[in-house]
Formats: sequence, structure tokens, C-alpha cells
Amino acid sequence: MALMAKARVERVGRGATGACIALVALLVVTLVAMVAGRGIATFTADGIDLGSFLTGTTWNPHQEDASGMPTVGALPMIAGSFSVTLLSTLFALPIAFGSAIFVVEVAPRFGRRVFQPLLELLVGIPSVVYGLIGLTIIVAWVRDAAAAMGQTITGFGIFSSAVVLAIMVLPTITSLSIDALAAVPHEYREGSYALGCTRWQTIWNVVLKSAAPSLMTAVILGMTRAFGEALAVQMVIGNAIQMPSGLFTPASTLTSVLTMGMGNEAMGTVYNDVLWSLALLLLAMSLVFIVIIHLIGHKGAAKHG
Amino acid sequence: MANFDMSAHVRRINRQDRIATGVLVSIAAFVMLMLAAIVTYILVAGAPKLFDLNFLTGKPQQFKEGGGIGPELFNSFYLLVLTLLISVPLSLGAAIFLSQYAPDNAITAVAKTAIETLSSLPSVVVGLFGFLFFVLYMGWGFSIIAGAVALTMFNIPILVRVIQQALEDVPRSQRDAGLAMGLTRWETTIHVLLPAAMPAIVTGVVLSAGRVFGEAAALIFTAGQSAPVLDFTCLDFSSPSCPWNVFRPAETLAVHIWKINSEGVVPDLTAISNGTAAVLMVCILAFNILARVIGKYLERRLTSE
Amino acid sequence: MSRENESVGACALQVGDSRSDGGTLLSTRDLTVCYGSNEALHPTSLDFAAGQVTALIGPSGCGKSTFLRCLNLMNREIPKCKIGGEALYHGRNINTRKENLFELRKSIGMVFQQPTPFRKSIRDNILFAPKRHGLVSGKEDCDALVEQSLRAGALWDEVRDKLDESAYTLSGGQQQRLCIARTLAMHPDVVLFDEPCSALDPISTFTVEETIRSIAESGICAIIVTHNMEQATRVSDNTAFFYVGDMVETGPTKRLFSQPEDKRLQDYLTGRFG
Repeated sequence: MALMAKARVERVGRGATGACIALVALLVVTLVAMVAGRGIATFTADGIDLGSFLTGTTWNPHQEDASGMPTVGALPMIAGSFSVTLLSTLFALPIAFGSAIFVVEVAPRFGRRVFQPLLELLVGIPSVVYGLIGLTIIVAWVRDAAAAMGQTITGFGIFSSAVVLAIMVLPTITSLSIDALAAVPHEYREGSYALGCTRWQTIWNVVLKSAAPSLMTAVILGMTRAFGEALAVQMVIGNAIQMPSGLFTPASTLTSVLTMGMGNEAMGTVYNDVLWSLALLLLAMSLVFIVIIHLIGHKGAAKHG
Repeated sequence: MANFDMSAHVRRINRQDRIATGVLVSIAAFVMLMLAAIVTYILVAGAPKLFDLNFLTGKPQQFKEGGGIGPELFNSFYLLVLTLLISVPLSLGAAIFLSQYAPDNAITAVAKTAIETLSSLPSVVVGLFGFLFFVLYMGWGFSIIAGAVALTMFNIPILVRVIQQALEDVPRSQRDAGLAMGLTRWETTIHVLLPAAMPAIVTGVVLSAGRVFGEAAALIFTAGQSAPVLDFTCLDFSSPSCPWNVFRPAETLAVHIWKINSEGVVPDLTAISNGTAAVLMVCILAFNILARVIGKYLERRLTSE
Repeated sequence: MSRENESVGACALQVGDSRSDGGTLLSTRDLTVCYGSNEALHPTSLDFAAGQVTALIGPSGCGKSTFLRCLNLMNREIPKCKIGGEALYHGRNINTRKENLFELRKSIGMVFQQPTPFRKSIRDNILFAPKRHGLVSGKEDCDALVEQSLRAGALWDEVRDKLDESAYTLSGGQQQRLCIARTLAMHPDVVLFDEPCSALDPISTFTVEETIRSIAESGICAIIVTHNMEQATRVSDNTAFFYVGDMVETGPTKRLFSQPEDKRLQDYLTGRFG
């Protein structure tokens, strides 16, 4: 076998691997461009006002409003998405931080051997399975609990979705928090113990403080996942496109409307275009999350030199 | 007096420390209990169907009881294999480029940002892009290949991160030793770094396979929501009943769960979705265990020879 | 290579006194290294002759390893590291963009501080690079090269019966000699040693030192970075002393250690800093 000249081997290797990454980058750019192109068409081609799209509280694309435009206020979904995201993060946060601290500070061996593999399993459970659990267990629990208090509700709604999402983002936040806490240099802890501080004082005053930027990143990444989750939420939120009036009334999110609606409308209709605007909103929001993470990273780097 | 205060203070912080530890332990216990409950519930609820051969191989029913999940089971695996066939080489190339060749310039920064963006994109957005680009624009229709490409986009960021990490975890001296013998980065990577990184890479790929296997949101608008009856004797690759035809629509297990629950017309809905979820869960568990076993085995073979 | 009990010290003395034997293989002319804007190595000019061992000594961070890594242009693999000046190999300046790094590193081998065997069998560790360079083909050639290289690395007798076992079954000292043998398998005429014994125990150190001497006697130009002054006196013919990025003093090892001229070298030798 004739050997290729080394310089040529290197050029081929660099070229082939470079092509892989170029292809991936190209796909992502195409994705952003195409979704943005579709999403913007609502405002440029169909003439829908961006302001009334973002702030309108009525979603009824098949009905025209006073100005002859379809009523497509997306605020109910935007509000729904943000409420389930924030609420689920609120539910997950203490548990995630608590178990991360447990794994890093209290039982590192047990954490590495048992707890972290279990977390990975939790990440691996498909979102439709979480949706199914939400549908069959959590919705029923909420309904029964309400019934016990003399209220009649369906059980579908923001609260049930937030509980399901909390379980789903828990492993994400936990494992990133574990990394964050484990990255705190051991000398910091020893310094604190040497001053006679208890473990809890050390964790509270030293470890959590110096890991704060990374913990923030963990939370934001969890929120990114919650915000973008589609099917599990769609299965338990009740899918009523109305301004959320309470935690226990059916509502909807950007993702749930997208999964429900996209298959039903022909391409090119105004309704379809509006759905793409929702997708664009979702895309923009995940870009915002990335930017926030970068800002935290830069701030942390600047602080630590 | 000061002495008395001091000991009271010590008692107080020690009590605080014990309480905190107790709280942490119970949080961790709660998480593990929850995981155990979820897995047990899924497996128990689906147990009657899990060992029912007619269910596992039978064809799904739309309006009557007793439908099976034969085609869905096959589709899930076929789609997984195709996805891995596309995404593993692509991610390998991208990861090698990033860890070995990437020049410190703007183009690399763009590529890295693209992958990071992809990793935080909601899978429903990836699915919608697949629908727009592969299903409609490329004219592939709802098809296995469109689904596989969408899943590839979903899988790439995970794989690139895992492989890049595995390559960078190989001691730098190994790479330097290769380069110091006049070998190219390509040869050093392929013959020295990759074999050393293989256990971590294989573990990562199998774990990602579990994620791909359970993914549904990226598939409902790409691989479609219908499962044509498959005829395994059919070798006409353009026929929708030929199992290997990549241009036929293919509903997977995860999509099946979502679809029958959101349509809700099958009379034995609960039994079927519980059964499907159990099958899905068993597969995910198998992937998790497999990932660890293979990783350990390769690691042992590598170090003990 | 049988391990004769010849006196290494006497040998060093013998060759060390005949420094200007005219066989200069490798030399540097005002070689500098910059990491970003920081000049880690100030202009350095040195000559290295075939068949001799040159030791580069000095306190840690003095630029001796940095200098060594210029001689096979390994510094090019570090981002933002720039090599200035000239490095002449067989009279040709290699510090150019056009230089074929692969050919160059084939003939200028390098052994690192930590033993770096690949996760392959002992045989494949030897054969890996020669095969990739197209130097050997056919089983007989390969077997011959393996034996020859392992003998040159003074490892043959210990591993002849387990050539197909993983290199990781060897002890640290054996691994390091395997790395030397692996380098010799490409028939280099220069071998660079970057603190080759700092991870080894005294007995392994002695064997590796013997190996270095013997490969120099076979006509190879050996350059060794060490922070161990006794080691420099044991193995080298010539020594160059580096201090904070400067090459301070150079000369035959015996002279340098007995009559140091520069104040900094005197201080270093008397242990004022180290």
C-alpha cells in the first residue's frame, strides 16, 4: 500500500472533520433562517401587527377582528409558557440544590456510585412517559385533592404541568449543580473548617457562594429545557387557549399550541404563518437563554480574573 | 458569661448543622424514592402487556380493542439505527475537528456557537424545521429518513460534547508523543486517542441512543404519526409496506403513546399506552445498563491486557 | 545491547574532552520563543554534535525545556507560541513555514518526562510509527526492527517473551526504555530527552542513563534536559546552563562543573537556588 504524504493525510483529515462541523453549522444557520423567514412572514406578508401579536389576549385565528385581521394575540401562550417554566423551576430548585449538596458534600462515594447513575436514568426517561404519568397520576391527584376540598376541577392546568416539568428538569439542574459544587477548590472548604466552621456553615457561606455563577447557569439550562418541552406539557395542561386565570384552570403554552396546530393547517394560510411566528418566538427565547448563560460566564470569569 | 454564650453558640450551630444534614439526606432520599416510584409504576402498570406477544408483534388498531405495537417497535429501532449511522460519524468528525484542529478564530467560534444553539433548541423546533426543510422543501414527505435527520440534529450536540470530552480526557502527552514521532494529528487521533477514548465514547453513544429512542416531539412532524402495516417479505423498496423503505412514514413507540392519548379514540387507551410506556422503559433501562456494561468491559480490556 | 559494566563516568570524560570533533548536526542561531508577548527564551545559540550527549540544566522555568521543544518544532503545537531565529539541522534552517514537520520529527526523536507508551502491545508500540512512515513492511522486517530497537533501548532481554502484551504491563522504567526504543526504531540521528528520569526510581534512572550513553556512542546526537546536576555529570559530554530564559554558560561538562565562570552558575552549583 502506497502511503500518502503526511502533509496530505493531514489536509484530508482536517478537511473531512472540518466538513462535518461545517455541515452542522450550516444546518443550524438554515434552521434559524428558515424558521425566522416563516415566522416573520406573518408580519411582513400578512400584515399582522407585531405589537398586537405579542400583547393580544385573544387567540382566534379563524375570526377577524375590527380591522379585518385574524385575532391572533399570543399572550395567553407566552404567559402560559413563562408560568409553567418559572413554577417548575421553583419546585425543582430546592430539591435539585439539596441533592447536589448531598452528593458533593455529604456522601460523595454514594453519590458517584448510585445517585448520579440514577439521575442519568431519570434524564433518559422519555418525555411522553412523563406526560403519561402526569396524565394518569398527577392530574388525577390534583383533581381528587380539589374534590376533597369541595372544588370541582379537571386537574389539567399550569400546576400539573409545572409538577411534571419539575420532575423533568430536576436531573438537568441537579447534575449541573453537582459539577458546579465539585468544581469549588477543596482548599476553600479546608480553610473554612480550619476556622472551626461546621459543615453547614462551610456549605452555606463558602461553597454555595463561590459556585453561585455556575449554579445560576444550571438553573437557566433547566429553564431552557422546561420552556422548550412540548409533549409532556401538552398532555397535561388542558390546551385551552385563554389567558391563564389560575394555576388549576386549563391553559396552553407556545409548544403545546404548536404540536396541536401545525398538523391541521395548510401551509401558507395566515393561521399557519402565525404558528411559525410562535415557533420563532420559541427559538428566540432559547437564544435569549444562551445569551444569559454567556453573560453569567463572562461575569464569573471577570470576577475571578 | 462570655463562656456560657460561646457554648450556647456552639450548641446552636451544631444543631443547625445536624438539621441541615438531615434535610439534605431526606431530599436525596425523596429523589431516589420518586425515581423508583416512577420506574416501578410504569413497569407494573404496563406489565400485563409487556409479556403479551400479540401486543408486541401485533398491528395497532384505530377503533377497536386489542391493538399491538409491532410496527412501532420495529420503527423505533430502525429509526434509531439510521440516526446513529448518520449522527455518530458526523459528531465524531465535528468533535475531532474541535479538539484537534480548530484554529482559534472566528469561524471556530461560529461553529461552537452553532452547536451550543442546537443543544438548547427545543426539540419541537428541530422537528418543525425538519418538517419545513426535509418533509416539504426536499419533498421527502413524512418519512423515516426525514425523522432520522431530525433526530440527528437533536443528537449531534449531545454526541459532540461527549466525544470531545472523551478525546480531551486522554492525557495530552499521548498526543504529543504521536506528533513527536512525525505522525499527523489525524493518525495520532485515529490510532492513539480514539482507542484510548473508546470506552467513554461508546458509553456516551449508547446513553444518547436511549434519548433518541424516547424522543417524540422531533418526530411527529417528520417521521409522521402513521404506521403502515409492514410486510417483512416485501423487498420492493418503494412500497410503503416494505419495512426497510426509508421514504415511508413511521410512527415510533414514543409518538404512539402521545398520539393515542391526544386522539383518545381507542377503547383500551390506558392499557395500550401503559403497555407501550413499559416497553419503552424496558428499552431505556436496557440502554442504560448496556452503556455501563460495555463501557466497563472496554475499559477493562484496555487497561488489563 | 548487553549491559556492560563499563564506567559511565570515564566514558563521559573521554568523549567530553574531544568536544570539537567537527560533527555538528544541529545548531541554533539566536533562537527565541515567545508565548504571546512574553519572551520565554532569549536569543540562544548552541551547537550539538553527533555522538555526544549534551545536558541542558538550570532551575525550573528557566527555558531549557522550551528550548528543547524548538529543536523538533514541538512548540509549534502550542497555540500562540512563536519561535524566532534559526535552528540549523544538517546546515539547513528548519524554522521555516515550508519545513516538513513529519520528516523532521522522524529524524529528530523525542522522549518525554512521563513515559508515554500507547495503549497497544509492546510490538505495536515499536512498529506503529515506522509503519505509518512506510519504513517497514513484511513480518520479517518488522520482527527484525522490533528486536533491533528493543536491544538498542536495553529492553530486549526483559520483554522478548511478551512482545504481544500491553505496554502498560511494564514498570515505569521499562516503559520509558520502550519509549526510547520506539524513538530509535525510526533511525533518528538526534534524540531529545525532556527530563526522562524525573518520574523514575534510582535503579531505573541508572538504566535509562546507561541507555542514553550507549545510543550516543552509536553516533546519535543526544540532548537531555535535566534538573539533576549529578545526572548531567554522569551522562553528558557538554552542558549548557539556562537561567530565566537566558543561556548563561556552555562548555564541556567537566569544565563547567569544576570551573564555572558565571556567578549565576556558581550560585546554582553551590545550591544557593534551585
